[in-house]
Amino acid sequence: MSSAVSSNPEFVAVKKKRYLCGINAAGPAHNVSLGGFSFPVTSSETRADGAEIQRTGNVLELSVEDLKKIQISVENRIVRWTNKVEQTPDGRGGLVPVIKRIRASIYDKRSSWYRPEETDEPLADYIYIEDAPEEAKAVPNSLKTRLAQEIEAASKTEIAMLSDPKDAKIREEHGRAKKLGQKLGEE
Amino acid sequence: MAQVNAVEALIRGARSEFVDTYANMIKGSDEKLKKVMDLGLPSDKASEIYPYFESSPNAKRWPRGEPIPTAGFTSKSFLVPNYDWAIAIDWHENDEQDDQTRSLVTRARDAATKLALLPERIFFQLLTAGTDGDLLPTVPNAPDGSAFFATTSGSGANRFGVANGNLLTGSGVATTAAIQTDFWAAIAQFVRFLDTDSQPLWPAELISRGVTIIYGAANNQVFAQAFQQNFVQATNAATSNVVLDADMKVTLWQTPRITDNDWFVFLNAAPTKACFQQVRQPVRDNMEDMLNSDNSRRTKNKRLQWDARFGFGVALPFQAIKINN
Repeated sequence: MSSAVSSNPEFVAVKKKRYLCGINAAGPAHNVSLGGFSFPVTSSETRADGAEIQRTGNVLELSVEDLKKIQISVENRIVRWTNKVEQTPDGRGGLVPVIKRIRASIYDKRSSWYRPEETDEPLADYIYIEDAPEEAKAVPNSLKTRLAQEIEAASKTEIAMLSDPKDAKIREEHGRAKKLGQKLGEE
Repeated sequence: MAQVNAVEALIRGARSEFVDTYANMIKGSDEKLKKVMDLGLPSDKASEIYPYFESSPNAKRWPRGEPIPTAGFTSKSFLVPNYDWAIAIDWHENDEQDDQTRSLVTRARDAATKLALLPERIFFQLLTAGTDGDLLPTVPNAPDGSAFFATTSGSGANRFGVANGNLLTGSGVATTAAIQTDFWAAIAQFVRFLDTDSQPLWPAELISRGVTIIYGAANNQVFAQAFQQNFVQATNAATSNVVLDADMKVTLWQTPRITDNDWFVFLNAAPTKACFQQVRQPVRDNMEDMLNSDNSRRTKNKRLQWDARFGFGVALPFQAIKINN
């Protein structure tokens, strides 16, 4: 829990709390803005050591007022999917029609042109806000972190063939050789 | 395999007056799109890594007798993969010969202009971060780890050095006054953006060289009034328009691809655009018929197909602001 406190007694401290906020990966968008805040599927952070971590959702510090704004925004958002009927094999040599969701639009119920349809879903079904754990579900972002680690490892060696940092194949071979060397050393 | 169903066009004596019913009327919005998206960046790999340096350090006072102040700066990079984009159309040669409208092949060729619309469709997918099984499988985050529009960077700091980043809470779109208030708030936000060494990012002159405003087509009346009205027809009287009076050059872009009340402001003169397209392989077309295809000789089917390899990415989006209503 953090708070912004002023020495002026007329100002009331705004208490904020860390939340993990986002939209499910199966949702209608990879990011939605609600009450002026971003709710992505994932976000990432580059740590001081250069490693990039990817987390599910986004960690936000929110006040009660912020939460109220988000609540108003989310309860007015409606999801409408566009479906496509695809013929897929039924396993007996025939075809069966399967309805697939291909894209979604997000409507605001407050708009004068919004007309409800039977298939409309509340956006709230796809949104989550929960207390943020310390590490907020952080997992290493394999591609960029690996690349950063490889470049760092390469820069620490004297191997001249690594002078071209764009050559991923050489780096890959070098990484493999290095791992093998470590393994042999341990044995 | 899907095939053209030409049965309605084979009826003898059918007339062709309405054959253009679904002729392509959308030719793309290239002129508007170029202001907000870089098109056709070269690519020569399966995916491209784009590095950039953060701001260079500011000069500091150097007290006599002390070592010269030194500072470094850091670099970042982001990865943009290329994807294949394609469409093929098959039809039976008999249908082409018997088509009373003589337009089957012409309509099939219209698919090429639909392919030309791809960058615009992707631009709006990036803008709205929409799930679309026909387009990008995932909408990428910006290089700072946050979504295209966000209040904070991935590390939780105020994005671009200012509270609310490039995602502002709007006042709604019910009145022209509300829109104008939010527009000036966006302009003020651009001016307040800071580089990574806490100095102003945009010169005011660049901002005054014009902005593009993108909004849902259903809100067109109120946006046109907010940005273009300077005359009241009924009373034949001039009316003050705070945007026109300030000589702001505004390009309005209404689109049915935005379905809610959110809207977007882009700086036209920004040297780097927020969205871009990279081209690994330009569009190529192929025609299959009995002269060149075993499949055609076996089935009497003809085929037109187009394919290309493009990647689409989001660069650091400090030239774009979203008004979230």
